[in-house]
Amino acid sequence: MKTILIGLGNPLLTDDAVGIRVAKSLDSESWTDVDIEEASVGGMELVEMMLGYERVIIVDSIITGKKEVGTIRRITPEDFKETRNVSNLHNVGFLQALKIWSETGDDIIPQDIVIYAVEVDDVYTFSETMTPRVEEALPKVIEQVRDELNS
Amino acid sequence: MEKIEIDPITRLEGHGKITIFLDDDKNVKNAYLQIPELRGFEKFCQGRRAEDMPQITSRICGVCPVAHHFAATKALDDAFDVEPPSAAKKLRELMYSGYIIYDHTLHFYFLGGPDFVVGPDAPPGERNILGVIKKAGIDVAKDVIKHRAFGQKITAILGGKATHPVCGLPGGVSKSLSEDEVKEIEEMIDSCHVFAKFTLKLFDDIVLKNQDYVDLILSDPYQLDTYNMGLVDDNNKVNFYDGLIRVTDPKGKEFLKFPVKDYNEHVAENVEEWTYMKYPYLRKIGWNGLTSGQESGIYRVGPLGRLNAADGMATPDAQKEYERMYETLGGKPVNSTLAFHWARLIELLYATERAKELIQDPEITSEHVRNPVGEPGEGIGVVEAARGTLIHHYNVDKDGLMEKANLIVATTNNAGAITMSVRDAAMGLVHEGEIDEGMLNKVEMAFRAYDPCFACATHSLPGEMPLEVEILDSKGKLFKSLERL
Repeated sequence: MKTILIGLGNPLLTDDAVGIRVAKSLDSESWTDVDIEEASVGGMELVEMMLGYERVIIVDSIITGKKEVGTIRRITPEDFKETRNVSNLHNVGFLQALKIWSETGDDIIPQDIVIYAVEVDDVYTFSETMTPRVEEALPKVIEQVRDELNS
Repeated sequence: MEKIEIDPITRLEGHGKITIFLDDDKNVKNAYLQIPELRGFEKFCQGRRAEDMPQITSRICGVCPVAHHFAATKALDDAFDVEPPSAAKKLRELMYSGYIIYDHTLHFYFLGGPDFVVGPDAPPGERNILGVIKKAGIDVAKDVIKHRAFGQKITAILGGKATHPVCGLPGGVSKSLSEDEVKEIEEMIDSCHVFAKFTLKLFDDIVLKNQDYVDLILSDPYQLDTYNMGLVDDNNKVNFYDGLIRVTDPKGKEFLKFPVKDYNEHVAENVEEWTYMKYPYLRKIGWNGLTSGQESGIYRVGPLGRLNAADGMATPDAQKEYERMYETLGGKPVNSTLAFHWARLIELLYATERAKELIQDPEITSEHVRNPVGEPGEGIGVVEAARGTLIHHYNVDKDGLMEKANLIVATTNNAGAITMSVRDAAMGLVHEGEIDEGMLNKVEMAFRAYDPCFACATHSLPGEMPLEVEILDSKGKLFKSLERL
């Protein structure tokens, strides 16, 4: 299945780098039928990146304030409604963009989308260093996403 | 005192907030806007290679990376005391036009347009791009997607990379254009030009031919007479990439015209105790609180600010539309906040025309795209971001490393005006605590017209601004809450 892994985030804003770090790390391994990208985009551009793929895995930071920092959650678009409180995923924009494409585009829209959301602490401070608990969680995130890619 | 909070939840910048305070009779007493601040930018930049600033700053914001990229590049031209070759300036401006095309397109169809195309009182679930598609048809949607992507493709070809450009260097750009690329870009520009005209026609048919909408645009809650600011060329026409900063007064008379290096002499920032947000104002007039009019130093930037601050558009089709807007809305200046939408579309048309001029310029394929740099020092650069005047100010040491960086971003320039527009809309629309979806949306429309960009975060999709509203009673207890997706 043609797959794209997108590490999402801003590498300059402390913990928002987590998705990028996961993508970087997995990109150093060898994969067949898997493309790995780092991106700092949302909505339309994010969906445009996915066109032509059958499976998409996104890794992103999230702040709900309700989970321990470092908690990893596996979310599918169907879960979005329930995770309405997940205020910073910008899920509606993403879903809307996906819907626009499926209504208007002739391209292949991926049917299989999974988002790994890592609860983080700080995405407001300019720094290329993540906070300790997120740094600590990183190997686990990489492992889970690797398993997902292999599944 | 009761308090209503409108809390736009977006991705990283999630905590931008409008708070509306009610008096004892539940009428609006005041309103404030708060925008979250990204911390530590200056410290982050210290000691870094100055040449990295166009890449670093383009990552501050996922919405206007090209604007930051070139404000930074121009600050470096100044810091390294180098004038780019004229071909390089043209390539930069061409790329900039691509950015304006995709950014303005996105705003109109995704963010501002739904209020008009679907209607300000329509259920929030329909008042979005999908509602626009339903009403305007699937072919329009395909065109929107296509031309937004064209704008982005133009910036990617010129910028060397999608989204975050890598082409800007002090003294020029890193890459020239091939004949094949010229051809490809020109085809896209031609198509974008037709699309821009179509979009203005759509605005005409749906908005201007509906008297209710024209009345809404001209209604009191949306009027704000402030000074206006924008870059102008030698003929005082709007320019996004270069020129002098011109300020006109609330009656439309030229008040100031200055090169960006003098911005500190003309613009000061007021700091209020209740927020970390800074409110810029014109020094010569002074800070007179959040008030409008001739005696208040607050000014507006962005599409309407630019059109008001200029004498016209530098291209023929856009100039015609410019004249038509002022004729229709009662002469110059236009102080209606909702006219930002119309002004934005006129700029979209201008960007396609200007891009066409540039791509047809024989010099555009010149290979002389960079001049050698001089000794590093202080540098200030300015561009017109889609949402308004953007200034980067750097101090670079003798080794080419950053000592100091200060940015004045468009939404900050508009901070005072946005706050007042929201306050005035709320005052005009909320009475005796009566608050419903349609009314809330109309308050939000005052805010949305500016196309504000919160704290320049990464993944935000312009077009999405879910709202949470809390109405608290005088004791601070929750009286009513509204939420919409």
